[in-house]
Amino acid sequence: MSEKSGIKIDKVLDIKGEICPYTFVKSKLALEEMEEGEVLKVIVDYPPATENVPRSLEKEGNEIISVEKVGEKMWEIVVRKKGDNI
Amino acid sequence: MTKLKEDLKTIKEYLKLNSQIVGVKLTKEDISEGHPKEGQFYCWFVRQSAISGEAFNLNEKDFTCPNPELCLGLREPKYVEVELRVKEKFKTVQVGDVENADVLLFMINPRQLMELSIQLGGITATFKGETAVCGEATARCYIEKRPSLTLLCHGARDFSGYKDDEMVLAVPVFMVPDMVKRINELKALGH
Repeated sequence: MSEKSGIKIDKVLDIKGEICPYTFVKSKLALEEMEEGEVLKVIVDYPPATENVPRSLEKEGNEIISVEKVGEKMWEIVVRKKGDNI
Repeated sequence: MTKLKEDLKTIKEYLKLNSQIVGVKLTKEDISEGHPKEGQFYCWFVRQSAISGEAFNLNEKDFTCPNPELCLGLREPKYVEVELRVKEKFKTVQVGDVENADVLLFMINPRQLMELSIQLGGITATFKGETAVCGEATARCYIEKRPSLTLLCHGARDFSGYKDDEMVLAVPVFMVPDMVKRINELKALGH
């Protein structure tokens, strides 16, 4: 567990090396194992993943908190799992 | 039967193609009818149409894979530029009907691809196993107005039911008459 800009990160999923569809498939599976309102950070190094991971998670009602480039070819996607009371 | 359908029948018979040739049209019209009950990958809809002849009108909500939204002009990228995307904005992707289609998709095996490459006077192919039916086939063919082959991606093979010997070739509709002309020449030679 860590914090990022005041947001508590409950789980980190490092999927560097993965390409689609496994980028968003693995992100969805990781989120399924989490509780509503928890925050997942996904680390990717495949540029299209910065589009398809947030989009696929957003379409299921999750909240995309940030998508940030953190290295030459590395991005962090922070997402909060959907919840009716959030 | 229209001239296009007659021509496609000739091509199908020559190829011994059991599946349907799938038309794809990108339209700026927001069409409310003809959508599937459940979302799927774009490549799944294409295969379903090839197998059953079904036609689909598809927009952003119909895709469970987000790549076709970008590749086929339904949505702009937010964070990084995406290769192989139609940059014009469209609202609906029509899959199935060949009349008025922009692109024709052939679900084929290697032998059928060989025959098509002869009909087309050669195919220059570039593929890398990503955004395959949506990007490598449909979008590239739409953008570059030339045949485009994809050997598919994990999305197509692992989630959309494509068999190991199946691949997809996209061909611009305007090339069909020349393909038929070449077939007739080949037939005259006894092929």
